[in-house]
Amino acid sequence: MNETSTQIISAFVDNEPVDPDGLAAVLEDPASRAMLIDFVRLRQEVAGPDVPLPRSLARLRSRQAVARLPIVRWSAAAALLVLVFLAGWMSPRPLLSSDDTAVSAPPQPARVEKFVPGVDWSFR
Amino acid sequence: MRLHATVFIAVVLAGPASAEAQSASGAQPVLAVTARLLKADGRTGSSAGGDHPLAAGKSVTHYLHAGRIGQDGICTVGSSSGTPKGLEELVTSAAHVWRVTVTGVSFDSGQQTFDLEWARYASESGVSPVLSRKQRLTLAQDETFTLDLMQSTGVACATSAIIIELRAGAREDPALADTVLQYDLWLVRTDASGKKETRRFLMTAKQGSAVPFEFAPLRSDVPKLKADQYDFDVLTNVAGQLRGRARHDGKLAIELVTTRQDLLHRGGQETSRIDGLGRGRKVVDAAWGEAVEIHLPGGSGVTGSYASAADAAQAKGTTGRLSAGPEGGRTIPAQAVTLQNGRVIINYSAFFANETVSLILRVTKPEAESAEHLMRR
Repeated sequence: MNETSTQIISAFVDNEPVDPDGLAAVLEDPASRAMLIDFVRLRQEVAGPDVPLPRSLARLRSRQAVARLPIVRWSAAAALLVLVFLAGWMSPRPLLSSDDTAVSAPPQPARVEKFVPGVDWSFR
Repeated sequence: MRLHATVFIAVVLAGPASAEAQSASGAQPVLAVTARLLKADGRTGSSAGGDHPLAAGKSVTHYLHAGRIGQDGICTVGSSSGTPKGLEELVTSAAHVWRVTVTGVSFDSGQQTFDLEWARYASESGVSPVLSRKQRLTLAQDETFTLDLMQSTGVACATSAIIIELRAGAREDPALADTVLQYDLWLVRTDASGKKETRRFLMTAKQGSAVPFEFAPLRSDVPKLKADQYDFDVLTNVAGQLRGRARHDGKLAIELVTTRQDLLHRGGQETSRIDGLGRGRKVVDAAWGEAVEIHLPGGSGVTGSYASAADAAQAKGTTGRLSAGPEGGRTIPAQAVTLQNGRVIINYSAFFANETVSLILRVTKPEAESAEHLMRR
């Protein structure tokens, strides 16, 4: 297996045009075949089920995996949402609600008092 | 010598507890008298003592004892709540005895004033005190006063000293102890044109609990008087503590202790930590939900700093606060900002003459606040 083999396999997996004879020659090498399988797996991991594989490889994705992945993902998302909700529910709640943050002015004082230096205020 | 901990504490209450006066909030002032051993390695050893309600005009006498006759220093510490012993009897068994008598004078929402009379006795001198003091003290709640510290000369144990101290506290009225107060505190600076700059602090705490607060500093630009002058500004830091109590008459008593510190500040670093610091304490009576504004006095004194890097290199001037009024032949300038001998001089009272800084405080019940939010929605 060499760099050319890698490029041919990579192009094939990416649904780019390849020379069939070249691909056939490359796939005679067991290491190249293993690489092809790795690429397919990698693509499945990265792209997820919504991105179609090349028609020639689509059947490699097991029906079971295609059917299970979305369920697993939705379950995980739901579990994550529940965890976030519980964490927020159980953690100390900040005093500033959305309404509080909107309060930009202090309340109108009913009366005014003063600290008086020498009486209840001192300087150091 | 084996270390055995034995301290004898006897408390004699002179005056019936039923006569203790209650403040409007029902909070009962409490004074704790404690004997505490310090170890030679800096650790705190055993302690013993007692705390007792304090009432105006009523006296409480505590006897604290440490060490035993024949012991090499203060090796033993402990406590006993048994039958109170008289001074004559105690000095025949304990190496050191303290007699502490306090008489309540007044109590106002977190601060208690009392007369203190204490004496230290040694076994070898019997009932004649080796040291005594008499004074009137005012302690804020949670404040501690050390009335005696006696070094231990003994070598046979790890005790280096014994400390006798008083600590002011308060016991809340059970009927109001679970009251929760929500503090809505604003720091407001108003300039000559009426423009306001605000900071806000919100906190919830139980009856009588201390609530410390500290606002982000207010920043004031210092004008440039020379081309190469540093970028100066003055930071006004306001911090303090609130302690509110609901009262039986339906109102609130809120103790406000606050400080205002104005600091000359240059390019990300303070020039001094000892600039004008003002401190005040006030007990504000207010209704639930009533907003009260409290003006803070402006800065005082004068501060100065090198005006520029060139001035600093020539070692002209000083950093730090200068006292208010003439000092060392210098006359304090009347202007807010002046340049003198390579220094920028700030006269704080003139600098802040055209602005006011105040706190606006409103205390509510958290439930009522929540209801308000719901109504607004």
